[in-house]
Amino acid sequence: MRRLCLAFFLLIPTPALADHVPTQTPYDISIACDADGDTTKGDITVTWQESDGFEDSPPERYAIAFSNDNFVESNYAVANSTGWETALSYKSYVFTASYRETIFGTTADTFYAKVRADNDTDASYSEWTGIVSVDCDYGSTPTTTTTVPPAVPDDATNVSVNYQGKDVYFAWEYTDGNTLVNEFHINYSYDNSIWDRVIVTDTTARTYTLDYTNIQTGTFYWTFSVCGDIENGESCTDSDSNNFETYQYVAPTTTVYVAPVVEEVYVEPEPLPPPPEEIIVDVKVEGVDKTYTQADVNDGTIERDQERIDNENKFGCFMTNAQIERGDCDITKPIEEETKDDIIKEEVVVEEIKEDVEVIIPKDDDTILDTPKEEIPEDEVVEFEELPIEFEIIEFDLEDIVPEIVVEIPVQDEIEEEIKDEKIEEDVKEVLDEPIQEVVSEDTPGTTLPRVEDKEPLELTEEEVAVEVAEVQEIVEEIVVEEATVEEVVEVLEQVNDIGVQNLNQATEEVQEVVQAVVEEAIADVEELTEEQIEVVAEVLQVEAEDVAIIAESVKDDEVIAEAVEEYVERAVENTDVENYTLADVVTEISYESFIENPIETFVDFDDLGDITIANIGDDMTQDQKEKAQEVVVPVILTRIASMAAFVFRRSL
Amino acid sequence: MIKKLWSWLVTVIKETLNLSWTLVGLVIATLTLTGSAQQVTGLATVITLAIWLLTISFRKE
Repeated sequence: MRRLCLAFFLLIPTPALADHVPTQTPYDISIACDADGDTTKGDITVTWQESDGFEDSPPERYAIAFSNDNFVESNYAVANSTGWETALSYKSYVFTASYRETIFGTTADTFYAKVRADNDTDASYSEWTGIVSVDCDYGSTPTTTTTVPPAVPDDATNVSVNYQGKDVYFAWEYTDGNTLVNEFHINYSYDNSIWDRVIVTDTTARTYTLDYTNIQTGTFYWTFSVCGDIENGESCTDSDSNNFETYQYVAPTTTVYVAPVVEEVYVEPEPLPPPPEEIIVDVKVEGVDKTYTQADVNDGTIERDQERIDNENKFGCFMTNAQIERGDCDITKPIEEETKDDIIKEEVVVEEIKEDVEVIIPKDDDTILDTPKEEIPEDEVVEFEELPIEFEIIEFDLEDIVPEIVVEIPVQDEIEEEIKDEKIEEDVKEVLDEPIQEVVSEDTPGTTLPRVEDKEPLELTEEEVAVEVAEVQEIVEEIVVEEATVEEVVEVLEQVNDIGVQNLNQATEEVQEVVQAVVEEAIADVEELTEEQIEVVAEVLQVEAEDVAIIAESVKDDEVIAEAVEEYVERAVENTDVENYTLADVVTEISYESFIENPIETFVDFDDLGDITIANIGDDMTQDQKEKAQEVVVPVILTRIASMAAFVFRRSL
Repeated sequence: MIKKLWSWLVTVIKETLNLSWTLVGLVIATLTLTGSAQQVTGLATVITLAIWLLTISFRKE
């Protein structure tokens, strides 16, 4: 009777009281019949695997239900005495032949069993495992054993975690194998004991951003698992795990905008908070203590600095091994020859600046450059000894900026001479202090140097795009477009601008649709936007800021432009490979489609014809549209004139 | 009368074919433009083409 009461109690489902992270269903259930034991012959052992332990309510005990008719009419259950003990270890329960005979009156029937994990304290109960069965007549060998092994999805690959002091970005690659993925599990812990779990149910997702509000100071342990349909007996596979140090993020103070339309009130920004990285390494570089942060350790800055010091001593070039191998350090070429060259390319100029810098730092270094050392007075040397840290900052700039500029910018003779003169005439220390990037990017009259702030095509790595897309996705998930404020709309658009509309092809369709709706919302509410916000909208549409108002006005009475705005994001995503794809391109595409559909209407549209005057023709076109039209119209006219001239000339002969 | 009309139609088609490249350019230009500029260009193209075709005999004299 007590057993029946217990069974009845255990079978009452109470899912409503389950924890946020439910008690996991036991893995890998199996069943076996003892066919040859002296005293255990006929015993049936049900075995299951304990969970990985990533749950708030670990099992306090396991309920084992059994039946002799596959739970059609007979349904019994017992509970073992121990709960969860060790991750992924195996537990078992034995049904003796005599016990079965007591319950069923015979041992000849097929024995069915299933297991469930229970946590009564938290009223958290897992799902039942799949059913296993065995034929185990007393004293006989088992005839068949049916064990359903838990199906496990394939591992995710290239699981990467990116932490830059704020959010933690997870990215992974996954391709479905025989077992389809049902969800991804990201477990994280700060003590490697109590774990929090994030369940990503979107199986198409390949990135996840863990918000910084979950990040503490300490060692961040994480594991990444791919899970099948756990409720139906499938299991998870641990794809990767690791740990790293994190620091609680301190949000910087930002400018607060009040009343977007009426007046903007700017609160004086407070000084930026200290960087979140904790200084943990103190290294003596060139006689000067230099401190490194955890981020420096993680990204290899310390190693590169050490390489620079070593290479400076060895070759006289304060460069990393990679730079040396790349040939950035001209080891064999004497410096005197460099300075006498008549034609100095910018690359050489920059190298000279660096080499001059290098000469003064190793006080005792006479491997390559010994002349400057003799000429520098002792007191100046003392002054320079204090510079290495400043020098390192310049070196980082060179490494990051110079290769791009050297390749792309044609330097005129005037600039070469200017830089050369500075190098010869000015004090070496002044050269050191001079921000080199400003010298090379200076907009000199009469030259063809492009301005640094000119818009360059956004070039992000796949990982960066993935991270940015994740950020967009995160914001988009929180927004309700119909109820969004102007600030929220602009925030979404700013995030989109960070990656470019065309890179949204990596986001889900839902995200693209929300972004599209946000763009339409911004155009509809353009009168409420500030100048800065209009610039953000303009950047999304790839038009000038003043064109946004024109577009907003045109949308009201021009079906083509209205449709273009509605479909802008979708078409931009479809044309990811097209460079400089703007709203004007979408307008042209839709005009073409409209023309194919109804050619007459395109040419004979007499609506509002009376409002058109010679003075205002074209005022309702965006600058971008005008430019694209010019590219077409002007060649057409010129070609027509040329052909007419050729015709007249031929007739006159 | 029918013969004259047929002859005129043939001439119109010939003249229009002579203008093929120009018309293609104008169509593309019209599709590239928007708003009032598109309206004016489209209308001007149609009207000019009509005048051009109606004045064939006048111009050939």
